[in-house]
Amino acid sequence: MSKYLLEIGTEELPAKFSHSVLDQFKSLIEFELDKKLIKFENIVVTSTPRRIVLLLEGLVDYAEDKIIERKGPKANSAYLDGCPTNAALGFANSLDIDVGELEIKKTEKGDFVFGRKIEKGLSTKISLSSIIPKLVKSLQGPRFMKWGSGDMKFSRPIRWIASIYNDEILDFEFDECDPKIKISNKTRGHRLINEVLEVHNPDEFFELLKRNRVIAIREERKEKIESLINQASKSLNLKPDLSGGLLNELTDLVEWPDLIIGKFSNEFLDLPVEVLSTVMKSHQRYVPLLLKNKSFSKLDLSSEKNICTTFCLISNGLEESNNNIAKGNEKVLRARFSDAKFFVESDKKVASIKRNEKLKTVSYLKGLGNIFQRVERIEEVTKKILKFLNDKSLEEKKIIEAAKYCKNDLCSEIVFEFPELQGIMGGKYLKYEGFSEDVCLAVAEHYLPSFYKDALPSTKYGAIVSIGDKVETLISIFISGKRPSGSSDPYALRRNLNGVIKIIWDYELDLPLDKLFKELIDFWKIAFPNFNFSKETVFNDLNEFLVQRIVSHLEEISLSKELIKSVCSSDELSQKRLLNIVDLKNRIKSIIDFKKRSTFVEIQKVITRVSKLANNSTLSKDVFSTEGYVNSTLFEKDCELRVFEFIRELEKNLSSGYCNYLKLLNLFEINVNTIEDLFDNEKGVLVMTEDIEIRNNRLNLLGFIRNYSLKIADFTILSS
Amino acid sequence: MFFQDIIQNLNKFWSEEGCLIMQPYDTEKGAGTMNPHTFLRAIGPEPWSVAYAEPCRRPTDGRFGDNPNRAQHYFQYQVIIKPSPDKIQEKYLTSLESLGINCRDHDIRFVEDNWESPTLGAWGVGWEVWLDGMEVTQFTYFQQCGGVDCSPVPIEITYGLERIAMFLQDKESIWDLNWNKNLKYSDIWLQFEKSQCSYNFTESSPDNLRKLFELYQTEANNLIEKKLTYPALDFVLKCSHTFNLLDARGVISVTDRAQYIEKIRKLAREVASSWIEERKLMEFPLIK
Repeated sequence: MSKYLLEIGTEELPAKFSHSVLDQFKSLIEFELDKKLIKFENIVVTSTPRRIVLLLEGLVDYAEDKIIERKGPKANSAYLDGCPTNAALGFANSLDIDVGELEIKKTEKGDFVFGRKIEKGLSTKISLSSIIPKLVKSLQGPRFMKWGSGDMKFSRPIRWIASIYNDEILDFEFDECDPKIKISNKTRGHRLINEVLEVHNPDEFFELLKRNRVIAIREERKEKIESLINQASKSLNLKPDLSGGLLNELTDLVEWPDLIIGKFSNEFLDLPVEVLSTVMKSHQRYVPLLLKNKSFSKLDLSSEKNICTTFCLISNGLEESNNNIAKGNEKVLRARFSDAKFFVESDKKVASIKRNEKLKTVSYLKGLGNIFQRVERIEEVTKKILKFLNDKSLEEKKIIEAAKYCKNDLCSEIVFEFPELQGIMGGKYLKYEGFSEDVCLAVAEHYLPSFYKDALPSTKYGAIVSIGDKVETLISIFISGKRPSGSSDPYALRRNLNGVIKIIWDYELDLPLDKLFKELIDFWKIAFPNFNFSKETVFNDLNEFLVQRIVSHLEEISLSKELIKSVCSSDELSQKRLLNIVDLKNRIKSIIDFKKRSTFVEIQKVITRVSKLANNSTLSKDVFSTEGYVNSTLFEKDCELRVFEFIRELEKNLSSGYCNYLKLLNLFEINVNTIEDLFDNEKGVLVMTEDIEIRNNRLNLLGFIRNYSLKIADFTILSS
Repeated sequence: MFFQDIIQNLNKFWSEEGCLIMQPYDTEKGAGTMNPHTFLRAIGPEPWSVAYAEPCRRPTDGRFGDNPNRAQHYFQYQVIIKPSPDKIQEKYLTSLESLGINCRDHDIRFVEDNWESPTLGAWGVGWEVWLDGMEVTQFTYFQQCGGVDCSPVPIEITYGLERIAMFLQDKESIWDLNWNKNLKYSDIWLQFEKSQCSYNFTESSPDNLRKLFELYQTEANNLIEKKLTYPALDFVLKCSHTFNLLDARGVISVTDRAQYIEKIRKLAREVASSWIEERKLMEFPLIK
């Protein structure tokens, strides 16, 4: 069995690419080898910042022979009186086989002559020399570049290629790089050693690199980093703040990971933990160490309760220089922290109300004034929300205060420097000034949720300000004539509205968004007399967008497609009912609960049957009162009367607004036999009877059952 | 090593590597890239190697000299080599050695950082170079400049001189750097910094700046029409700096910003293509 090793040596690859290329490369290779019938036992694809490596083990030297069967001439023209004709001879000849080896087989178009040929498997070496360059050139990634005068495009310049089949170089054409690359058996060690090393055979490759301070196997590096950090934090009794993302990035930033413990000065503990960890994690790629079992308040301005002044750093240097490297990094961190401290200290000297004033100098979007004015509108929106909610547990003063100050940190130095800390810092500064906890937390959390799986504001105050902020953006953008399109949503309106829906859904806020929109559009019309927009168009477009986002919310919480379709079926009536999000949530929950019952299948079946028949009726789907539609004197059998009573029962239980869906479903459950009796051979009636009057009367009865069932869902779509 | 010696050492190093050693260009600019020795020479088929120190102005970065790491005026050392040669990273590391930084004593990393200048219609890919966690240099393979594809591709190396000096002199503030044996950075630049900050943040007249922008834009357009590439570029640079001054006054809205940037980019593109045409007429004299 043979081995093949390929190493593509590059200048430092972007961390994301050197990771993402692995699966891509592996599946391309497997596909090609499979196609060429080249067998192998094991495949390794790995990378470091400076190399992408492929190792094939248990490789056969020749591909499997391939049996090729070809169809030849028709049997009756290939043989004349049992003897092969020229046609048969020619066909055998073309396959390079004896005419006697031909066979006759039946096909749909008659009998034909078939010949089989064995194609000898190609030498693996020859195949690899054509596969490899093709595959390397077909790798894809973001922002590929050119370098020098060459035409080759790759993530970063390719500087060497080692290609070794057992103990010899496997050469191939690779001409597009500048300078041209000579395929060799040479590799390079760690950048700081920078020696050219000869690889005699694939077996020694990984060990050779290790001796030259490169751990080429990515998983090994990753495990080493993780265990170094875990060991260190365990011995210090601290908790490493190491996400999967950061661990991956660290793995793809170094060839020879080593752990260095650094320290920063106590004086920086009066900075918020969010600031310290943003600097450490996103800017410096350090791993902060957190104190265990400490309560954490988002509103703390200092971090002494949360974080330790010790941090982990994964170095790519030579371990003999670790002291030096630690000192250097500590100095950099000190400078970064001093910067942040400088910003926080100067922010603390300015009252939030002053910063709010400054918002007047920050423009919003063209024609929509400045951010201060935007905040005034957010205030207005939150007031209206409060009015709709009519929730006595909320203090209006607090909501208004939170809305008023929610953007004040946009004019703080720290947010200018660390935009990702917007909101959080505003909340902390307000707390520092003595505002109430509810107000501060609402400000700190009002950007939530900022992506789909993000947390929601932890209090109703935060929830309302968050909705206010997002709805303000929606309406402002809509009245200025812009709409999100499939490919372009520069103001993140989709994310905004999804956030609003998610908050209402989770908090079960009794907030009719359509009514809120209507009132707000009137308000905007007065605030922006110069904007030429039709209130009706904006309202309709907003509602349409809302329905679209509600449906997408249902998809995101992984409801089944048929359930979604059955509650959102496309007629206007059901769409309008979606807008009441709490009602929708209720409805869906009731259906899901009900579906678990054993009687569900029967109910679903009979309603489906009724609905299909009812489509012959002229009864419109929005009629719910039987008056004038059902004439009991036309009943011929008892079953009709009982169905009629059932419908009247439904009617009684259903006021126009809210439904108790479970109760409604229960009614259907109790009366399922009543409905079924309609179709019974003995007790039942013929719905499509000759007499038009009686027929219509019966169809209307069915129509009402359908209409009431549609209040819950379209049962014809709902699967059992 | 004194600040001025760093520049001298880099000059010496890159001169020995075959680069022309140039002096700074005499118009305000946000980065060494805007110097015509880079912006124009980066495009077209002619080979080019140059190195120079460049003072840069970024009005929004001013902090009245209060911040130890930030100023609205600072220095870059810029190297541009076209086509990008083999072993350029190794050459760069050797240049650090020439400043007395022994690479084996440190953790040196090339961390992905792609560069884009919307105003110049330019982008490239590369890294920031980390020296024990400090970003000291920006490395960029230009892919496009002034909207023109770079072929061959130049490599741009931009050293942050203050950062390197702070590292070498073990200082925690740029203002404490020793420019030479007798004078500190602050002795030379602090007063300058403070008065420029006052101008940038409070004393400049947004109305006048807007008018200036328009005048510069008109001038640039006229010059482009007359195919006078170099003066046209000067006025594009003035537009860009004027835009930065408006930005520092906080009077530019999101949509304004997009429009200003678009205006400058359009000019930069036109200058770039007019430069290529001019060189073509001259039959690309540097191709030997």
